[in-house]
Amino acid sequence: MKSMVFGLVIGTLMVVFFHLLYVPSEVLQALLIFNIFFVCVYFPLNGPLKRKVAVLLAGNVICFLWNMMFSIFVCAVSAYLSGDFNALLAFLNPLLNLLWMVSFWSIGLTFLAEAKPEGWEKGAH
Amino acid sequence: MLIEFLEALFLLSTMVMAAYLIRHYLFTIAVLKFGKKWKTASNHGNASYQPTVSILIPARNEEHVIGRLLQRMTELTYPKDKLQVIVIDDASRDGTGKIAEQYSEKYSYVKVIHRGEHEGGRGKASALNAGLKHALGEIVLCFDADYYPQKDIVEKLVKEFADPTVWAVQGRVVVLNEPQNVVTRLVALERTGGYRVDQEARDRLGLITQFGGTVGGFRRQLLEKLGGWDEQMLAEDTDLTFRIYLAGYKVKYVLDAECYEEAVDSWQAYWRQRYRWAKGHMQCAFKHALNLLKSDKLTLIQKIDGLLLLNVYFMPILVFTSWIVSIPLFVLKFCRWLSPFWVAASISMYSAVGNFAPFYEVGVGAYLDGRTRAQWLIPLLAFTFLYNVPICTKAFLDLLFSKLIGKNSNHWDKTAHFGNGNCYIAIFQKR
Repeated sequence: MKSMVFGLVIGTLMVVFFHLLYVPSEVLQALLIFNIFFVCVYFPLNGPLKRKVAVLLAGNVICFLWNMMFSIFVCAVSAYLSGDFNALLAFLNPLLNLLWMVSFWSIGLTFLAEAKPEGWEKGAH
Repeated sequence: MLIEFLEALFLLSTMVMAAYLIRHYLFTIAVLKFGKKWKTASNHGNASYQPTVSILIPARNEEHVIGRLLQRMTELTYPKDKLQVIVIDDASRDGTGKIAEQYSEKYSYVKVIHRGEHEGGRGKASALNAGLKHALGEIVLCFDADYYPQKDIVEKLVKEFADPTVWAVQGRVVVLNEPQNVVTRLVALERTGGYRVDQEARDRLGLITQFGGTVGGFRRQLLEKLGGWDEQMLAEDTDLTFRIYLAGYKVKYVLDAECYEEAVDSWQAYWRQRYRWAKGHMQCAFKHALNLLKSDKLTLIQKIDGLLLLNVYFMPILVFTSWIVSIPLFVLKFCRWLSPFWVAASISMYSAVGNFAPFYEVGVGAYLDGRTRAQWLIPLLAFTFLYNVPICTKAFLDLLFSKLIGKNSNHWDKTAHFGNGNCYIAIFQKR
């Protein structure tokens, strides 16, 4: 529980930091959702707190870059296409965010897994 | 009118999907939070309880794998004077019967039943019923021919029967040929989520623990009371699970009783297997859903869990339908009941947080197993989900069509096994 609170504090600080950089509000929203969500699914697992914090910080950077790129893409597209396409992009954005979050989380698990590989991971497979 | 109908359909399907996602989260959090406590609190049955046991092995054209399973049967640590192994050679056209006969001649507790073309080949349930007639043991266990159990699996499964309230048990299935290719690796991940988290949580939370058709067993008395396996059902295991619960009995899950299976190794084989499972599950849903709701032997929570379990193969269809419906409703802004803000907020929450649930379950399963690399493939499970959409849709349409024309189309499309797991046996041999 303590590590979760610590994670939430770090996450909040990151959101505040990005807010000070005047990033678009939709990117801030994505960062906020990512931090709350990631702390909830990652910090309760056993593992060193330092590693958890490092992974959280890396996730914030990826989240920022991904959503900034998407935001710029949407701006560029909306200059040429109608609002319907923007609505479609808004609809797709959470799904695309989900894909990188799942990938990032699954790789993040590797850093926490207690080194007791069994079966396949024991051998040279 | 059409828009209102589509909105209602979308809201309903979203609520059902949300129920499944919440269930994934609850199961995973429960296993994470209470897993260790459950393990230490478990009484692990009574190890000195050793009743007579009959093991049924239905086998049809399994010459590549039957030998290794029968060899393993001879290596089991359970007292052989209390063991009976029955191989049901179900009209095999290859050397399955011959291999089984060789073991039968050498070991007195191995018995082979040969079924000819006129009576065999009607599916697993039919073969198991044939074997049941010859079973003498107090406990009846079942293993598929492509499985490879732990040496002490019989003890691990049987000791649970020392508790008189336990009438059926289910062990854990682990993929034997996991490193073979990406299909087997993804199947292994699905199995990890299903058996390390899902089944464990269901059992410990007092919900509906599913009998998986293999690596499990029953008191013979129960099977006889229920009339054995229903030969009309494609998912005879799910059908039996619900018949057990509806009769007021329960299935106990034994996490540490592991058995290693040869998983399907191509997308075509995956399609055929899942199509059979989907159609069989849907058959069971039609057969048991009402009885489940009316049952006075189950609690409300069990009924809800049972309904979710019965209808699990409708999920890919439901998700696909809701995607189709949501495009005209929200993207083209036809929505009338909901404001755009709530629509956007709910889509964001649902897509990003809700859809994470099944990945979370599998990831935590792999984490609890101490896997360090397997979870890297978790994102690819999205592909298997998409692949399940046409599989389940076809299964549903075929079932509906056969019901409409009143024709029974329960063709048992058996999964072929080529012994691809044989080269990995060495890793599990000492277990």
